[in-house]
Amino acid sequence: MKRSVGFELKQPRLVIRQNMKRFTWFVLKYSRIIILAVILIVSSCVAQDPLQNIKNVISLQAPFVMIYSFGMTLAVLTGGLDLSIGSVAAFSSCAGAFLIIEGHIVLGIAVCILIGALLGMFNGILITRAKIAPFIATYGMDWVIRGAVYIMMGGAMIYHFSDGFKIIAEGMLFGLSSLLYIAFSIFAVLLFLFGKTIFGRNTYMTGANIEATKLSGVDTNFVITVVYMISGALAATAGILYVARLDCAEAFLGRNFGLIALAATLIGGTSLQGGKGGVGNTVIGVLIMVFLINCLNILRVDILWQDFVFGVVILISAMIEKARAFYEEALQN
Amino acid sequence: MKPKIKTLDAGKDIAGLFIGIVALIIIMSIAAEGFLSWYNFQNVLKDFSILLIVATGMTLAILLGKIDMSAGSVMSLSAIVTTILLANGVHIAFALAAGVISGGLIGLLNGYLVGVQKLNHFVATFATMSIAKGLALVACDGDIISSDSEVLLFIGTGKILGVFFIIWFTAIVYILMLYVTNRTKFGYEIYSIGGSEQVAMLSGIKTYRVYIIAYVIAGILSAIGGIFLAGKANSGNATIGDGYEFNAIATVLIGGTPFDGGKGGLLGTAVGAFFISVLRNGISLMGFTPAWQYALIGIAILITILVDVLINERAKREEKRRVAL
Repeated sequence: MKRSVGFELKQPRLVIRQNMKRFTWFVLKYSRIIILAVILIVSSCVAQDPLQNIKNVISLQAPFVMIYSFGMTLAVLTGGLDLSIGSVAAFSSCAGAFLIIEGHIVLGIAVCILIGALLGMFNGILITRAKIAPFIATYGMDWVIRGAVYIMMGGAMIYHFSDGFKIIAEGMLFGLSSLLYIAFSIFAVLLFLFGKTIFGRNTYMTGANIEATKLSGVDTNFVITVVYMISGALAATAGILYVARLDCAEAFLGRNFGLIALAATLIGGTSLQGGKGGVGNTVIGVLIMVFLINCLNILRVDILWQDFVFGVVILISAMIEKARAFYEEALQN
Repeated sequence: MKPKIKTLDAGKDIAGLFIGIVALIIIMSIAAEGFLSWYNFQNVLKDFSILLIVATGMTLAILLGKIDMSAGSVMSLSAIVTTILLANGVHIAFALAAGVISGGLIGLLNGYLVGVQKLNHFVATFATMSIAKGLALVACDGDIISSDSEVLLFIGTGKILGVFFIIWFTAIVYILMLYVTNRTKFGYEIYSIGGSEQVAMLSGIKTYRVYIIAYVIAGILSAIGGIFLAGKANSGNATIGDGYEFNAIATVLIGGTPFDGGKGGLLGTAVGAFFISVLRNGISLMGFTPAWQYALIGIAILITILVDVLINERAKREEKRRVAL
């Protein structure tokens, strides 16, 4: 008897609980936008000129992070990841800088991007042909390439480039930096390539289920290798843009590219399981990361805290993803 | 009946590694001057011990089918914690305990995230890696912290009965862990979770408990490795353990414990650790600059992993063919 009374009383509570679940799921689904808004509000409260600050971050800091994070995102989409982007950026931009300082600007940039693609191809071959786990292969390559840059530069720096080269990073058009235009044209190309073409479909399929994709006749080795080549080329592009911006090529460039890119990719919502997410998600992830860094700078937090903060961000974004999947399942039942 | 576990899949795996070690020693003794001396042998053994103690923890993680990317940063963190406390006049016992506990706490976090929250093990430990590294950097403010403690110096460089303290300590820990993985219920649970987590859970093993204990042990062992590194120079800095996780993973892989989990064991890890430490020692004795060493060690490790993976792939393919027949 008692039980039936309790059941009747519980009915409205169940509805409330269902609504609570729906609300939590909604919050988790749009958590990225909410986080971004909170960070923006905090930084705007502290900054002296909020609008100028936001414009600076978007047009001068975000493009670099965006370009190399896209590469990481693509690698994550195939179910792997690319930890070598930092050293690839350093190696290829230093190699390109040797030519650019001699006056061969276009040739230097082309060589730089080509070297990036070749290093990426090597990563891809290690992963597909030698079947080494992606993070071991790219982490090992990170060591090797970083060592190679140290040998190549021998502790020296290359600086004082010509204005013709520096214009690619310092030019302005309609009040926005040329960097932003470069980043957005890369974004548009990638969006088209991975959203509208067969190759893009194959990439998503490879990430979701590599065995099934292989059995349906797709050359998954080719897909993965090309994705790592694109990743390497994008890292090299980011590297050469950094060189143009800082007017200096050095072996230490890009020490924490991998960490930032992974954080941006994960918080953007691209799943490490592969096949879910995309470069569009990463744009939001990158905005969160650059505004977070900016916010820490404005609040005068010591730069040494950055590694710690990035680690926490990666953890939080992984937890959010987990919770969202949990609530989604609970609502469907 | 006590559970009996095959620690090595096949004798020939390790036989190949022994041939590799002998070849490496012959090459190094020709190419590197002073390689074949008693003094250098002790040095190799010392590096071997530090690598082995970290790789022992890593073996537990890889046997579970997971990984511990935070090992190197935990080493830096424990070295920094210990040396900072010593520099501020804290008693050596507390300083060492704090160092070890800091590693244990990071391990606990790893175990919680992987075992209870079921996060992707790579992401979780990669995040704790940067958390530990960040904490170490903040704690030491980017500086080198030197200590004047004689006990710490003894831990790093002292000898008992003509053999380095580090070697004694590692030998004891290694034998203990060998017993734990091969002869206890906990070890059996690790192997069965590595084989299939689903089956292990259905057969009543509390998987989260095993994950947490294994990661805490891995964290503590890495922390001890970090204290050894700090003792060697009697100082600590935030990059002291950089790259050790890579060396430890390579050690475990070469030692015949694949990423799939549930296969291999600690015996192979010791052989792998010896191989890698001979390699590192030889390359640094050949008179390369640090930049070259950085690249060469990376290349050498990558090639060894490559050869190892290729051999395993062939073995797998042959097995498949045999099953098909």
